[in-house]
Amino acid sequence: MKRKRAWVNGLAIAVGAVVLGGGCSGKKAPEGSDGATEIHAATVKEVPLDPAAKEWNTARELVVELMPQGVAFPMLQKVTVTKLAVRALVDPNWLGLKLTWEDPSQSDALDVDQFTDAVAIELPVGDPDKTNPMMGSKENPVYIAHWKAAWQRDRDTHRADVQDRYPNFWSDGYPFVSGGHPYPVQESFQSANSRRYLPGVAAANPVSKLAREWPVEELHATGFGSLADHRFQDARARGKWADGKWQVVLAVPRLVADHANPRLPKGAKSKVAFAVWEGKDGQVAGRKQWYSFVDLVLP
Amino acid sequence: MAKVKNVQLGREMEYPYEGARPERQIAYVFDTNKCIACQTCSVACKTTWTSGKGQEQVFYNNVETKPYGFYPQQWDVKLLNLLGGGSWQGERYEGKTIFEAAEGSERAQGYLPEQAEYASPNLGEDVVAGSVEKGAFFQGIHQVWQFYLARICNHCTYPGCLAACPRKAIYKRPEDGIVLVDQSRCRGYRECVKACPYKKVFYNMVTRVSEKCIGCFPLIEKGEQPQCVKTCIGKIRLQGFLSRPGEERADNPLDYLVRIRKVALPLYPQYGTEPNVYYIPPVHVPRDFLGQMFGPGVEEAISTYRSAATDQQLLAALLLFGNTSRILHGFRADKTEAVGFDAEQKEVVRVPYTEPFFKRDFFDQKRKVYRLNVT
Ligand code: SF4
Ligand code: SF4
Repeated sequence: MKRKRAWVNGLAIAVGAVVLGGGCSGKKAPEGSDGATEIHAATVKEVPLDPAAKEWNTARELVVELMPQGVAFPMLQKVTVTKLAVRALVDPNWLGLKLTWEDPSQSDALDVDQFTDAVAIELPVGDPDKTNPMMGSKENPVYIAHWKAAWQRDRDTHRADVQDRYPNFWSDGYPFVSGGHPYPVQESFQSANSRRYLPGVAAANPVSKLAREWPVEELHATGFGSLADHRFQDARARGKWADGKWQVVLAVPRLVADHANPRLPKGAKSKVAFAVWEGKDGQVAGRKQWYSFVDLVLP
Repeated sequence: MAKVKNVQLGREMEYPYEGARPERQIAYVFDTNKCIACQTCSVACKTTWTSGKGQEQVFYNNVETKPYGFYPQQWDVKLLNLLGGGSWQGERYEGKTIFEAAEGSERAQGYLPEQAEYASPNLGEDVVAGSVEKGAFFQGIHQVWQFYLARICNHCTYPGCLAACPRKAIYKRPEDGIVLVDQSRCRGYRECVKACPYKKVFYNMVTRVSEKCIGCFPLIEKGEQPQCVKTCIGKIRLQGFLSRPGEERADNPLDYLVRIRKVALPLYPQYGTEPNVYYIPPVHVPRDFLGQMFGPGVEEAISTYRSAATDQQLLAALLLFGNTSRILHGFRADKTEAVGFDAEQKEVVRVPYTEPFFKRDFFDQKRKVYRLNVT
């Protein structure tokens, strides 16, 4: 049986969207292979990060139909990724979500005109029924785990550098660096003085990190424009692109001391929302396709 | 959107935020007639601020030859085409600004340059507007034209970059109007790169965030003019502060040149950001080209500029360019010299209207040599 969903906040946002240009009206109910409309996590001994692991076949798949984000600037006018398939697994410590979507192009480079493919999940930190799915609110913040193809590439090979995009790019040197041409950014920029010339790094911007343990960032938000990263990064992820498809596993710890994380004990009922960015089409920030909260049942 | 007063358009316009003019606005006057495209300014800026990895093709300051030089390629032509034209009714602009022309899904009309468009900052340098007639090269005044346009961030009163940033990572300092990208807050969305009509925000592919001219704020805070101004070989630049509209002071060189004598004009005012680098237009360039670039005040600005030789007050203001590293808050035209004052009204510079002229003997008696240069 298909169920019409309408949360108080979700409804208010939908009305706003019509006024502002029709972003998220007409949300279609998600569709499970067995007609379910919620995500029911299957229990395993250990949540695998490998999207190809056979354990994922034990979880049932729910497909959500993505909508253009049309409430906050900048908006997406038309979706280019239409569907996202979701499976969930739990073990005593982790909630794992495997997200699959079709994407004929693998976009994992960053440059002024190059944007990365990405996916994010959002969970309520406070009361799931009172949480605004569009970036939360002061009273009911949201938790976000954001995976990016560019970070996956960094981890699978090495931190992307100028020469990865422009192999013959020559520079005589940079202030206070060590070593020689091509002055790899992870090796030659060790001194504090050399890092002053990498302003984002010097300012400790998490986006500028030269080394990242996992290709995912944990964030929280209390409304539009409030996104902030967590001091302790607990989430893990692994993504793989093959045959015109991204398969990404995001693993969120069920119970950690970090109060900006959601608490997901045994038997918890929560919600999860999704966003997908297609790098090839210049999608970034609010230019995304998304799906609002789906019920999430955790054994 | 809020309604704000854009003094350069002679009307109100739409802007995403309420108007909040700073106490005083950092502003510059560039005399295009004096620029020689030596690029000293570009190098001074580059060595000071953008010599890191990922900034190789970033020029907070660049100098391009008009009409065929651009950095990034075609930046102004592309946006003019997107905006689709407009007209001036006297001092009032009747077309759409970047904010008014924005599509429903964004805050400002703009475009994101391709990487390759930054790769040849000197393309078009010294290319003139037409071909030179056979033999004309050796005869008197040339009939073709070009001029050098030095460009930095305009520290706009209504910045397009700031308006477009969904993160609110860009801010305008209330104390001096300098516009900055918070390097710890930016997430590299590049909405600002797209929205800045002057393409003066840059994406750094190594730090993965956006950067822009910081107006040399550490110098400004010490009462010093920025690097690009201090090092300018052609002495084409003066940096100071504009007062709020209606509060102009005739002894403030910026107020005097920009708002009172109107000898210096904003670049593409029709974009609507109220840019704060003001240009004395080149006197030899066709007026329709200049009109498109600097708005309706071109003819008057040029005729005022031409009168400087007999207008001592104006001459005094123009002679202050490039003669002190201190920021000038006041000036005075003495009988034989222009005098400049700092924020404490302390005299910091004196420039004679006429350079003293010395003529020496052809033969140097003391050293027993002939001089090659006697003046
Ligand atoms: S010139 Fe561009 S970068 Fe500078 S303040 Fe204006 S809009 Fe922002
Ligand atoms: S230093 Fe001065 S004269 Fe030389 S290019 Fe720059 S603005 Fe022009």
